[in-house]
Amino acid sequence: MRRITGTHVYSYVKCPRLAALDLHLPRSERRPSTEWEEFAARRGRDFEDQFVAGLPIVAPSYPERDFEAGAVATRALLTAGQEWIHQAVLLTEDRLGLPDLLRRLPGGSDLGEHHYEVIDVKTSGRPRSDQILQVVFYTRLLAELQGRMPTHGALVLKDGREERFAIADYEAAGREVEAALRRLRDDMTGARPFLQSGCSGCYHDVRCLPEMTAAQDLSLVHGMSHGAKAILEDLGCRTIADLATFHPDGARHRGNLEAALVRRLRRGAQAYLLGKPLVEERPRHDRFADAALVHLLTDAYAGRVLAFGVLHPVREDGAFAWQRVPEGGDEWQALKQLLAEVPDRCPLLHFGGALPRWYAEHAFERQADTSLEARFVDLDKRLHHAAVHPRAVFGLADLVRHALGRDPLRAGHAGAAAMWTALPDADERLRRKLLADLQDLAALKAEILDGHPHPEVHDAPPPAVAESS
Amino acid sequence: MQLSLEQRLLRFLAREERDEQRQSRELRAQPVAQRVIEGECIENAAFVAERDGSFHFAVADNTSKFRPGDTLVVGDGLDIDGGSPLVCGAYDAGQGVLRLERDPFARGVTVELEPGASYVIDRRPLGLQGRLRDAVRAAFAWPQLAAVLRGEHALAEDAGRKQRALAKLAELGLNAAQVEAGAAAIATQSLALVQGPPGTGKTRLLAEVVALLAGAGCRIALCAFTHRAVDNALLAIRRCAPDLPLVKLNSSSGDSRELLRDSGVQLVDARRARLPDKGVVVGSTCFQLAKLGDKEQFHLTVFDESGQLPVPHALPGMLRAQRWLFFGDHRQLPPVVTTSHADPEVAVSIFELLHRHYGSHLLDTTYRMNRGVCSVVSETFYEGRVHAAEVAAARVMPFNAGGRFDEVLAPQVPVVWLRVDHRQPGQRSSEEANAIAELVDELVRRHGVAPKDIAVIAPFRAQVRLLRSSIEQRSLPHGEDLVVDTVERIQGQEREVVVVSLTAGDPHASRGRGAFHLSLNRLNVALSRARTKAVLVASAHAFSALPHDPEGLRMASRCKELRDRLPSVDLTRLYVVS
Repeated sequence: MRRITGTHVYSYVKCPRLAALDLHLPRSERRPSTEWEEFAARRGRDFEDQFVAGLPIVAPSYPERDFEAGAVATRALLTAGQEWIHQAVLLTEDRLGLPDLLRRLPGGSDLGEHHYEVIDVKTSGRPRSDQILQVVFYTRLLAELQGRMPTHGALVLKDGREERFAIADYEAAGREVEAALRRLRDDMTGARPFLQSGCSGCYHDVRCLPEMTAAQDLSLVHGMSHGAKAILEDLGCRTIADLATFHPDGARHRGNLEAALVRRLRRGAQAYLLGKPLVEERPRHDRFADAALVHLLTDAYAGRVLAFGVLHPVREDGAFAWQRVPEGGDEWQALKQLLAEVPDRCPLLHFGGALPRWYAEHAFERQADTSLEARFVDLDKRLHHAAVHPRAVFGLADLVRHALGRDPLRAGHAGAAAMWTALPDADERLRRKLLADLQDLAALKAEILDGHPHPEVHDAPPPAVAESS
Repeated sequence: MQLSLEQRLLRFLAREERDEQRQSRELRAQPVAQRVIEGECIENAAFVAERDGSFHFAVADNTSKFRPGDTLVVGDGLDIDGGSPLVCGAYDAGQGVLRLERDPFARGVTVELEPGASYVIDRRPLGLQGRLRDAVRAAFAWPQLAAVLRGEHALAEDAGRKQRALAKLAELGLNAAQVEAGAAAIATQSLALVQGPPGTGKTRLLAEVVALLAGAGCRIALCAFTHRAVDNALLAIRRCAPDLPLVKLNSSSGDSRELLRDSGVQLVDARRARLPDKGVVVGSTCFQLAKLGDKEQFHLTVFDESGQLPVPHALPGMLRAQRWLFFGDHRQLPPVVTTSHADPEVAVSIFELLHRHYGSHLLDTTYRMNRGVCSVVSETFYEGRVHAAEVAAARVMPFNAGGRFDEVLAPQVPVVWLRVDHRQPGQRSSEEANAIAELVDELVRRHGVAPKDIAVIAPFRAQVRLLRSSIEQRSLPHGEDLVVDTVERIQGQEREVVVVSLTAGDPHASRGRGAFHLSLNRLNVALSRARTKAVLVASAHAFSALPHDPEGLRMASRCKELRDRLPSVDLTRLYVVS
């Protein structure tokens, strides 16, 4: 029987199908990690090593992957009452936990006059649910071994800050995830794929995406939710072709789904079959005839901006300027210099939360004039809803791929930008990536936001369309 | 960079303002279809006629979040700013008619609508940041108040005053916890906090304390976040002290205004108010209090429902006095916070902030809930510290066996989960509405529970409207007395039976909404309105949510515990289309 691990918990929160495939397939079935994924993982390991270097840790010694031996060695360290135990092995018949750290606390347990709690070291800036549930998973294992449930668990975040939380606040969710994982381990048919934001970066994408495409799975439709999909399938509307001509007669025949939602989903199915976005009519005030596009590349781990880029006016052939920010450099000044070339009051179009988040973190301390922020216009939600797209879209890359038919990674992946900074051609890579993203955004604005509204499609016979993933 | 509390509060206000503006801008950029799906727009509203100053529209299906009083704009949905500004009135689901009123603040605007033409109705934003920034700066410029807010203040009591207060309060028939809390409030030299879980007599205690203090000559400001809360507290004080001068600053709603006048509460304009020097209680929302002349000071400011009051909003009231009493409960409705990047330390209520520093006096005996309801509420939300008073503990709902819902309504299960396992992804569930309409029908006709003793509560306004419409179709005798509303509108009230519609059926859709419907504070308020019976109508799928943010996950996890604690009756096969 395959043991459930903390990684499965982590995966389950992202996607039950991912956890199921992890439980049932050998690692060799996964897409190999990219260079920059390896880079990120290496940084995580380095951070953990750096953090524990300052602690008086001991670690169980055992032959590689011999977890039974590791569990015995861990048990000896627990009983001896070591203050900090690094990479302990917590093993039961069907679960395996490898927490980063166990910390000794006063208070009796089966181990003696002390007990332990779990601490995991993460490179994120804020705690996340999947990380918390992983700690809960380890804590429940630890409780079985020491005969006492610790009241708290903790995460160490990238700034070294420790976030403690009460296990009782999350234990019911932890129990439920474990039970779900056991069911998936016994029978993985319960986990059907559903297209979501994490799919494009998932190491099982080569398996799930073709499966969904072959089945004309409803989750490929723009705006589809799990609940709506389940209801539609119950009504016999199982494929995208079914949905494109789905005209239920009354609330009962649409499974009580909202009429407006069904109309929108049907249009999504039609867009899929046509293979192009169906542009919607939008409020007239939301036009940006004279605007600039602002984009940035960041190193999320280091919490800094690597480079800013500006395109003005917003056309693919608009004037492009960019500014690299060296480590320790003045990010604020870099952006201001770039914007000095853009007329005052000109709206600053951007995509997603990165720019306003960066601004909010810096502006207050500098008591900055908020008029700059008032010029920010986020294209993210606008581009998502200004058209019904030919496939469910989540981030910029999806929009570029499915609305423009371009390869969004032709200048590399934004997540790799931090890795490029160590390369001799870093400037050129950063510049190319910023320019490509800005040109894509300009093209999206022209096609989607400024495009002519597409009339209602009345169930025309759909042309054959291949899924372009 | 380490920010001071003052800086963090100012940043909080700045972010609130920014996020409100951004959300509004983002929404108004969306196509009509998307705004309708988000409940922020009504399309195909056919203008019928103007009658008695109201504009009547035929709206067959109102799925919006609009509620009476919301500011709206009527137009073609594309030129939003060019539309006619109106205010939301009542929606008659049976007739499919939405009534809009003129906006008294939109002076000089002519409303031109063509009968028979179809319109799009959108929300019109209101900017209400007011004087909060000034209040934060003024509060931290005053060393005593700054120390209180930072948790650096040493609490002190007047021992003699406390002894006298203990004796007086004991004569009023209050219980031990109330007497202790009330005496601490009267004796404090600076501040005291009283936590009042549901039905524990918080408002009565506030009224007795205020009546005693004002009776002794104190000039008291009584503050809350909403007019409704201020009015409730003033009326409670009137019941304790028939002759005490009571004043209310500015606009209450029509019904409440009459009630206050009939109770001898003087209604005055904040800018022109001339207030007695002593022995008076001046009720006001925090915004209105800020409009009083700068020289108006009080011996004490008393805050009711302070668990709903964001920290900056409390400061205009705190700046008016040197002693502060806070009545509230941070386990009930939280303050409304817009920002998505909230600083968790300051995006809390004034009650919670001060409770962390100074603790509070817990009123531990509920006179509302029977033993069974109290047990679930107490274990789930108060670590088992609240118990039912003897007079309430053994109460049961009237029950006449032989009905369709016997298993649900049996008195031996005071809190029960009625399972209707639908998968609705939006903010309405017909499945739950149908089940609840039939359940309410049986409560009234078979068990003889009067509609005025029943409340039906839902987290979303669209579901509230659907529930009202489903229940109205059953033409119950005195059905108009039945309360169907969101939890915000029913706080402070109680009913024999409470039915809660959780509505959501898609756990993944819940992730985006931040598990709003699973809010522990809201569930606490909803269930604890019940004296003898609470029915939670919900899909099992609603409980399987795993929100990505830690706070959402905490709430979802606690809700899973609540689910596991409740006996359930599964009626999915009767109400879910398959």
